[in-house]
Amino acid sequence: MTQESLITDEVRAIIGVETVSPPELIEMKAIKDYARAINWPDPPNPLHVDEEYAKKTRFGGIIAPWCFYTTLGRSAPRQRVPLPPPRVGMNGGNDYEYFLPIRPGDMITTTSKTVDIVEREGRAGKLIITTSERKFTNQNGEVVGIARSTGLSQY
Amino acid sequence: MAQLFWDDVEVGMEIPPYKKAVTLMELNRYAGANEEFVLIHMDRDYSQKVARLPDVIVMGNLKYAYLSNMMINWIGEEGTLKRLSAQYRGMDIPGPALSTEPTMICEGKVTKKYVQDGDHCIECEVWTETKEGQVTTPGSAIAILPAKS
Repeated sequence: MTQESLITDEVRAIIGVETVSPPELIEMKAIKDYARAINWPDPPNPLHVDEEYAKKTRFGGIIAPWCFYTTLGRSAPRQRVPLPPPRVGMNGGNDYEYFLPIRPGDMITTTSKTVDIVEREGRAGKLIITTSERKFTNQNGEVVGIARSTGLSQY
Repeated sequence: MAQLFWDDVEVGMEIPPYKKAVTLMELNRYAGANEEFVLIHMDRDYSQKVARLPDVIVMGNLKYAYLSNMMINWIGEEGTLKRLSAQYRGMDIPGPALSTEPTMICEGKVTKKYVQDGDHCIECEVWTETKEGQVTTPGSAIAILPAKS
């Protein structure tokens, strides 16, 4: 018996549909905690934690670590993907493009969409690969960056 | 650290490796900072018995951060990271508590060097390796560097 694909028309219908998060305040403490965590146990990059130091750089003040994009857009309205819950979900990859720094006090709006959903038959069972994109816009209407991510759902 | 200039970079040049002894301490710190509370990064019993993984595994986002640290440390404050991508192909298992032996080695090398719209660009192949030498996270990076002339 051939197994039916999990990717129904209903699943496919969410591809390309954009959702927009409410603007998110970028807090200094969140930046500093993140900068400490990615360097631990070594000291963080002073550009992300030391205002006096950061003022003297070409950035003119503290900026968020570039990979801070991982934290953004969590408050975006969740699109319900009509798939059964996987046995295990994993991060398949990140591809981030950086245009402008994010600074404490910025209000970042995240526009998210699913770009593609494909199914593979793996050794351990079905694998669903979801590619999504998040675009980050600051309070001045500038696009600061784009994050493309791949999610793996193992069934 | 001295600033890296585009003029001094050659195709094939190796990026200074970035090594980390990754333990549950690093995973927990990052879980807090990134609000990434996922059982396969926290609970060994769950990882092995329910998710059928060999152990707790290091989150992809943290591996991405380490690759990013390697690039930023190398290109210096006058360098600009434009793009970094990483694919999580293999699993990284955290080392024992308080261990200082690196479990993850980030490496890379320059694959291209060019000028585009007046920007002095480089492209690199980057990856993370386990201490056994297995590449678990291949990726690529694009950066703009200051030029001497």
